[in-house]
Amino acid sequence: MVLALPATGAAQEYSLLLGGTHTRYADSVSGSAGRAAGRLDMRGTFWSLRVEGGAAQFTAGGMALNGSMSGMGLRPLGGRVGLGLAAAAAGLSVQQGHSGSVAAGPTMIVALGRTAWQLTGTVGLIRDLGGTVWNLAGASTVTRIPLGRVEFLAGVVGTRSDTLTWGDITARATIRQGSVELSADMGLRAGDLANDPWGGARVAWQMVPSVAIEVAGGRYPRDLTGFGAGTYVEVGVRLRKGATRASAATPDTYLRGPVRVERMADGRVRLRVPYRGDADLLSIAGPFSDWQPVPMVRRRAGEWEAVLRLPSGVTEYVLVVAGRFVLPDGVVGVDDGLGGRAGLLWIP
Amino acid sequence: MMWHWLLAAALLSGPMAAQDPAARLRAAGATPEYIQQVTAEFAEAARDGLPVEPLVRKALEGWAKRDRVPVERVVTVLAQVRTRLTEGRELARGAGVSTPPDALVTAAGEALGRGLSTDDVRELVRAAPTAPEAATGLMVAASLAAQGLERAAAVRLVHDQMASRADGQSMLELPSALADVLARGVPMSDIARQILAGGGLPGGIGGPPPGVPPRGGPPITPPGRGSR
Repeated sequence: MVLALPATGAAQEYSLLLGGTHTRYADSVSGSAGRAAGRLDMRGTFWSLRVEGGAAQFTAGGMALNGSMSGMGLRPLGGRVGLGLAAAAAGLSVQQGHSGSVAAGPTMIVALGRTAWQLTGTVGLIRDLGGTVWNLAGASTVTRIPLGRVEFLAGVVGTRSDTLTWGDITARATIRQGSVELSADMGLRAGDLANDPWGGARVAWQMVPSVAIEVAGGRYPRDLTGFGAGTYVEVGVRLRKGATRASAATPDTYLRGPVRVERMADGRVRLRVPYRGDADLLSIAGPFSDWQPVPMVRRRAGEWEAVLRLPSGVTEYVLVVAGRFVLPDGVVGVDDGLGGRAGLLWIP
Repeated sequence: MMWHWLLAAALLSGPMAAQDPAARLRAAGATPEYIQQVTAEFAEAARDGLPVEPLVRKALEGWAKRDRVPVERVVTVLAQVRTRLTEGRELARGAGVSTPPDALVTAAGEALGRGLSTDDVRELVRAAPTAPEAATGLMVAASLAAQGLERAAAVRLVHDQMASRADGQSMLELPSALADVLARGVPMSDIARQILAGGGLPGGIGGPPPGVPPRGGPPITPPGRGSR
């Protein structure tokens, strides 16, 4: 099981996808189908939850119902490490039977600059279409590396179920350009259940904040629930309600107003940053930290804080949100000579 | 006076300024290739007797922003910083500081980089009673200009503050005081006009000492009878 690292920017979102798919779910249900699916995404600073459910009516007459849930909660240990629990469950019902899986386990996230790394261990159960229940144990690592507009996710997963053992290497690249988001996945498997590599691509065009066109296609691998490998093409319209999704709102959308600076009685300097978004981590960087991000602490809604030892004077700074160097709107800044800007702070 | 020395020290200090620049870059995760390219610029500056810390800081910044800044650009910018430091040192010498300390050279170089002219730098160095005070004044004037204050007004405000023998803390309060005045809705053009007329910032910070008339006119308030 690969649990994606929590993205930043979105708070909660409800969406409905209406469209068509051409796929092979199982021998008895394959071909073209009309599909409706709902999704609920909720995300706090240290937790996330996604619940999805859908139905596909095949032109040949068969029907498939599916649902899934995944979530995690973290407890921060310092500014860079979080420990918590992750859980996921999925189910599918087709004419020839029902399958499902449930798994949960401890997870740890380490933020290293703009890169985040997650290690998760899971145990669980899988029920295949024939009614057989298999135990499941696995471990996975996922690394998220944001590079400008592109975000890379790379994962390694090892799974053992009764006598079967297999390992997957997965990779995903997501690029956001204006209102268009393009993501591409690929995976390789070794061990039991191994077959050809799989992969896919998805394009979402956010026409207006509440409506997006989504097109996806690719190949998926064989799994233990009784389905073989297959291919799919999907087209749909996604209707959204709730917070703007991360791809449409840039992290700096939520930054407003100046950084407040206060020299404390013990000589240290308290910096307060107004930030209304739901980032997991907000950092500040400048010459005082050799330009390495210093994690800030969320003090209350809309305000993050860092306490640093800074000498009196003027210093440059930038804020780091979701791996991007940003400046709040309207702050005093100077050309950094490198094609961007740096803010100025006056330290009393 | 102690303020200026503290500020001068701050101007030159990074979190690990005493550490070897290459070690700092390595600690930031820079690749050996990157370190090799930028340390060539550091060596060049050291050979010329220039302070190296501003270049180290810029190289660290370039590395932190490597997603969008190629190393060639960083090297070009480092060469520009070096050129400005050289120019800043010459300006300080020309203004009468025969052996300008690193803090002053750094402040002069950064002020030039932030848009102050050579004349501005020369004027503030000449007006400052000491080299550390010149460094503080240059830093503050450049900040005021970055806030949008007309360059001539920024230099005048700092110049007047120096003439009033204000301490470093008062000097450092100028950018915040300007922000406060702007927040009260006073147009920048009005602020600049008042400063250039010798009246300091609206609200009473900066400007000539109490009792000294702007533009050589009669005193508004006689010395010893309170401020403006």
